[in-house]
Amino acid sequence: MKVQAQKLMEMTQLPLVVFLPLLLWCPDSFAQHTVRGTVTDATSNETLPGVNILVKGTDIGTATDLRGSFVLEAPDPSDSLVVSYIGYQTIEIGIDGREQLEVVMIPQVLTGEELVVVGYGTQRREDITSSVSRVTSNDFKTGDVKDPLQMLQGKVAGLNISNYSGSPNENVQISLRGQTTINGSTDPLVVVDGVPGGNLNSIAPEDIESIDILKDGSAAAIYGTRGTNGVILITTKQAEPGQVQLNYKGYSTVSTIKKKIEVLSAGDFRSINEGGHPLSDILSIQDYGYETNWLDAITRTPVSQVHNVTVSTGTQHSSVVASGAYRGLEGIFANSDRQEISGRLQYNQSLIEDRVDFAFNITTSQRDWSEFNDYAYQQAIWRNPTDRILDDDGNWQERNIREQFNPVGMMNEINDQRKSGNLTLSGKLTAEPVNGLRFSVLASRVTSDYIAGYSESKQHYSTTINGVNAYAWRETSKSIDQNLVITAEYNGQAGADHRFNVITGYDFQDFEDEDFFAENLDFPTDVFGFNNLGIGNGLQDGRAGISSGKSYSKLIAFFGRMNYSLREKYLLNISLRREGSTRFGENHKWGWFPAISAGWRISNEPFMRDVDFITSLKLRAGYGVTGTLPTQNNLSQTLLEFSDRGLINGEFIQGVVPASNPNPDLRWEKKKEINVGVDIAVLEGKLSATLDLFRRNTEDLLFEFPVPVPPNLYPTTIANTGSVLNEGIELSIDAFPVQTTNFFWNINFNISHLRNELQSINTNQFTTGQDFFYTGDTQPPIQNVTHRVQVGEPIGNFWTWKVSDLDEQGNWMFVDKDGNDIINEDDKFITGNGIPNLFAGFTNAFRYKNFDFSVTMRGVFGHQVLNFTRMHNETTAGRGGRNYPKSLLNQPFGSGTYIQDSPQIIDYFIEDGDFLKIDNITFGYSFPAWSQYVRNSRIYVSGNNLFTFTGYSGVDPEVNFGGLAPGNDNRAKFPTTRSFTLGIELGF
Amino acid sequence: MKYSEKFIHKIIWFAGSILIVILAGLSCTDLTEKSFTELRADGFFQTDEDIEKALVPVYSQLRQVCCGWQGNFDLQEETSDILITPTRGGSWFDGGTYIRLQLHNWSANQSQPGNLWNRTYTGINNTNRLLFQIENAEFEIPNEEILIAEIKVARAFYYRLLLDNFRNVPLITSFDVPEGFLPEQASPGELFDFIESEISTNLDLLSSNNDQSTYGRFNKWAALATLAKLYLNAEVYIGQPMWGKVIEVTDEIIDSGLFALEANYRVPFSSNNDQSNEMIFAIPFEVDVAEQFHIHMKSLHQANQRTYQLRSNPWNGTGVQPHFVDSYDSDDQRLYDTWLSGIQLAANGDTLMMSQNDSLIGKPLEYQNELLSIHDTAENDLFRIGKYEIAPNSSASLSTDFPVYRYADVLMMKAEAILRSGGNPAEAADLVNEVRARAFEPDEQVTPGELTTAINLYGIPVEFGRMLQELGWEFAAEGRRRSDLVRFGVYTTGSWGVDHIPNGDHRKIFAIPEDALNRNPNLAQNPGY
Repeated sequence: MKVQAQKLMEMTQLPLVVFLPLLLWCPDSFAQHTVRGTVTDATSNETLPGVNILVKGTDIGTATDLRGSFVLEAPDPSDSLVVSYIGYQTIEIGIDGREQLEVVMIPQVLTGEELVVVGYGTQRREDITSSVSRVTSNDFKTGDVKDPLQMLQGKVAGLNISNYSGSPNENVQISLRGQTTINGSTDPLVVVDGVPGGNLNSIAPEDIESIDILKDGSAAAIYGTRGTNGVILITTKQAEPGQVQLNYKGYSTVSTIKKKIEVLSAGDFRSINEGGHPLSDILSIQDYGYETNWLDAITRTPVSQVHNVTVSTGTQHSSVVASGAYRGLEGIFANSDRQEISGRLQYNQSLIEDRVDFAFNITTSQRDWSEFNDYAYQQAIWRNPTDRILDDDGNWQERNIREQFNPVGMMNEINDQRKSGNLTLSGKLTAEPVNGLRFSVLASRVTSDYIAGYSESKQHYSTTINGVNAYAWRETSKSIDQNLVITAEYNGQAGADHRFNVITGYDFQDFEDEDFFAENLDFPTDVFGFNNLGIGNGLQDGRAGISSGKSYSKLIAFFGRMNYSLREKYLLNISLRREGSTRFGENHKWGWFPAISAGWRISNEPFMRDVDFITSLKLRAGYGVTGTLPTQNNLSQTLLEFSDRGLINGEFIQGVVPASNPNPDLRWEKKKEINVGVDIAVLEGKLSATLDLFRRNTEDLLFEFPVPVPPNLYPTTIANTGSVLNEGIELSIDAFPVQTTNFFWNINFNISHLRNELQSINTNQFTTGQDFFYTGDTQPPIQNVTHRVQVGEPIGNFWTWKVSDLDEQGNWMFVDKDGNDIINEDDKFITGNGIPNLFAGFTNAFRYKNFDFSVTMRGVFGHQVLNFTRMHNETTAGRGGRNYPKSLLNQPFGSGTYIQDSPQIIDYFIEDGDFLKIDNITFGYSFPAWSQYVRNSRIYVSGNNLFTFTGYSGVDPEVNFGGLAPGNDNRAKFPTTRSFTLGIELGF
Repeated sequence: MKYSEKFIHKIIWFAGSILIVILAGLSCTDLTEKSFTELRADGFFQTDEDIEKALVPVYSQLRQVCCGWQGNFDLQEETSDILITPTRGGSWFDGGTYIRLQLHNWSANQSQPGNLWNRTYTGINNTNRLLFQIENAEFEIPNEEILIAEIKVARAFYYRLLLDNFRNVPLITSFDVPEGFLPEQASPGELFDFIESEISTNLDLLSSNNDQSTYGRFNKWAALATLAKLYLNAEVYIGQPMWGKVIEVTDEIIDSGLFALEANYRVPFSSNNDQSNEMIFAIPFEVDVAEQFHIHMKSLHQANQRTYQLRSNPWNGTGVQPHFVDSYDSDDQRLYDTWLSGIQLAANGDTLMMSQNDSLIGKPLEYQNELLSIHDTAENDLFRIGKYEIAPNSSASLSTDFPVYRYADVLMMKAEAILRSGGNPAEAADLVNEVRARAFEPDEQVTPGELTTAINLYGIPVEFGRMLQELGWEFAAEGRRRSDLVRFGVYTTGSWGVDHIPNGDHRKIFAIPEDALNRNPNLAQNPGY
């Protein structure tokens, strides 16, 4: 009883216990010396509570309070203080008679003790035998961030993040270790606090504590069919026991367009018509007599703001974190907005002498947004600059010229409103009936709702030109993912030599998606917008449609993993997953995904004892098999669908036609990956490096295989055929060249090189006579493909004609590949590749006293970009009164003539896309303690996407690098921005 | 001892946990797939209500075959002396596809033959599948024999298109083929015999009505017209003329008395042409319901949107070659009924303006009978296709049914057969004049002598050349010119218009599409490609 009562005391009077040392010390002896001070973290400048402070050579000591402050009575003013804290380097400071000390603690690097999140658990960094990268919140990119993964940009070798769209509603594009698939998904699996398939959009980036990336197959194989594109494990901020904290983070961002496409001005037009302009001889242009800068007319200087408040509290046995965030983001175009409120509540409770843990989490985000119609941007680029926005009657000035519409009118006469919500509920019960054995059940449900409305008024060109008489649609969808994970884990030790961890589990997940869409047109009035669809006449006239759909799929898996450490030197990790999916064919419902990896901690060998400068050295190698799911349901079935109508007995009735060929052998894409790595830390961790070499071979590629009709029902079958190879090298270096209390410097450098090759697209069962296929689209009027995917070549090859010169009429002179005097599809060449093969990131972070400063640079090299804007617009042919880009004035090949040929897909418009960006600069100042209520306060300014060094002439060489048609810089792409942020962080 | 007991204890706990995990797992391992928006194949064709739904694709596929984008219509007309789609400024280059058709430069990669191949075989597959389903149906099918006959004739119709365009194609007549089966090409003779016998043996089972119940479907008369086309081209297909059979079959249609020429040439091309007595077989189209007939969009200038109150801008592409316009007798009403020319007005009478060439912007749109070159010509060059009625508020597709066999065609086939078989030229002239009559006011007749005399056309002497011209004036832009040019020996020998010169006799038929060769290694390429 007494013991329990004491425990109760401890629990309820915890704050008292913490303050007790302070109360006990009272300055009653003149011989003693009172020292006051605060302890802060060298990297973040945040105060550190609970830091141990001891007068050297005595047992006199104390700990810092919640605000990182301490008061200590030292026996002598010449004593030294030993300051120590878990995760930080212990330091010794001479009091030197001072009464006030500012102690700055430097985080320990690569202690090996820190925990890394891996599949279904955590592991100590020193035990890791595969390729896993971890980024914690201190290292996240700050400033204008629209998506949690953007915070990792340039930070992780091999994880390439492209923010190619300036839209606040479009997420960044991620690729890990290359293009591994043709038709499968390329998205990495995101696991949020243990819930796989978690929705990235539902988490406020500020709520994230750390992100771990499982890069290689041996680490990701435990996630089976979804592991190929890597696994991103997100851990949200947890409460720290014994503290009540309130943190506020807020910032405001102003953005500008990264680069404007230069087009001719009204003045240029007039000088062309008056003669004397270089283009006067070949152009005469319609001059409407006005002057409008169309791009300025549809853009603005957007101001965005983000606020996040997090409160956490905890005792030894329970903790609560609650946070709320608001993001109001504006894009550079009017009508491109995002307003979002998100909230999170996390509650942890230990019961029964800490044998049972219960964790409950609820996360939600509610977003209202509107999509900008990028066709208006395209129109603004080519609209005649001598025209005006409004005509004399105050209507939008339209000209009835093909495919030319007033972009300002388009923007103002469209109403686009979308709302979406995410809600994640999860609960986890963990029991530890005996020491070392943990049994847990995690259940979660993630729901996403979406409803959108879109309308075009009667002043929109759809009515004023096309006579639609107002148009509107509504769309809604809901998806529910449910997940149940049951695991049993045992941590054991046999003697001093053997340490092991075994986990086994069951994972069930199902996905249900439902959607509905209805449109209508020919409305008696447009005042209701999309809110009263029923009053339009289009549906009953058969000119508008309704659609709805539903899909359901399931994944079920059993898995197990064993980690074994022998004498802290030899590490072995074996995992196995058996997983099945409804999407697989009848003959292959279940697959095995094994992995094995081993490590050798050389620095723990006796022969390394004398090698002092090496702090740690580990060799590791791993092999693992992961899968990629087909992206759609029902691909293995013979399905019939209702399709075209036919006239039978005077009535058009709907027919039933085949929708797919059966393929009972349909299965996952199988990626086999070998990864070899070295982790080394020298000079007590001041310099550390990780080097990884990988070779990943994806077999059984999902391919929409052309098959003969007949005998087949449908001209293509989704089959597993072919293979693709990706191999590369990744190097990551961390250095702490200066680590003093006043000056702290941290360098992170990472670089990765990648090689990709499509090895085959045929199997025994499915063969085509050709070893290539075409993909990508130039868009009208060019009407051609952009890429050829060919066996023996890397994915991403551009496939275009080559030109050698312009003739006197300004027509292209083509390279006649086969020399038959006919230029046709047989005369095309591989003229570049849209996938970069070298990525580098370089971050320098400094802190001097209360100032902090960091610069992140990012380089992407070895790829080409097809400049659609130039390809379509850089010619005088068939412009139909459209404006011209200034680049038309370039005379190709020094020919002395301007391009007057039809727009075509030629190598002339393919440019090198190599770039080096100064991606982020942040300058901050942390205020010294200025109030007993304020734990820390910091103000900072930062700039994103600031400077780009590139030879590329388009808006931004950072384009879409994913998929099968990478490097296409679409002419209507939402332009990227340069942004400036002012932020405040307060901790109470 | 104590330690190891504890250890064993843990092991038991662990084993028990694993057991729970496995038990939990066993409770749900069902991976049956569900579809909510498509039919499982095994759940369809269970009742006679499903028969009509299954019959629809046999016919709806014809819309793709006749008029689908970059398909048969392009092949028959853009490779000929009548239609042309020149590049206009930057537009309609489209990777050079139309230029290659007109200049006979296509390869096995050309999209249009590939599309025709795929679309036709999809239709054949639809017929084979339906025949299989009917034969294996576990319920009573009303009028099963008639239905089977109709489907087999439809299949023969698809095969005649393949014979005409590719000559050497696989003949697949059953749905239930062994796994991995890859067909081989049949000879032209085998194909010819198959088509002939399929139609002949099923002819009498087909409905001989000509009314709403048979409209757009194969009744006896549509089957006979298909047979007549087969016989008419027998010499081209298998080197064996069959003029007598052409006369026999066309006579049967004429003698039925069910069909007649319309007094007005425009009626068979109106949006109500399903009511026309001249129509023997048509492919029904209806805006918003049964689409894909884009001929007005492909041909008209953007500004014509306001003439016809179209829902979107037309695309300003295809027109008629000036030399062909010049070949008409200026009194021939068909010149004006087939082509749009001159100043273009909006529905409200406004003059339409040009908008594409910078030097022409703002000037009135006037179609002129000129062509600079297929490689570049002005936005208002060429007369446009005005044959098919464009009902107000049409979408990108028309509500006009596409005429496959008109009664005029039957009369002209008979006339040609009489001429070629050495029959009475006067009888042939009567038939041709019967067709011409409505186009001239007053009547201007062709003489038997004009029909029998060889004339110089496109730089070469052409036997019965006047007959070829008559076919052109009557059937321009009806998706058949190539076949006529081949039969008159002009297709691969004549040089017409501004740019076209012959480019090899093998171009009478198209290359087997490379895509099809790749999918089926049993296929051999046509000679010359």
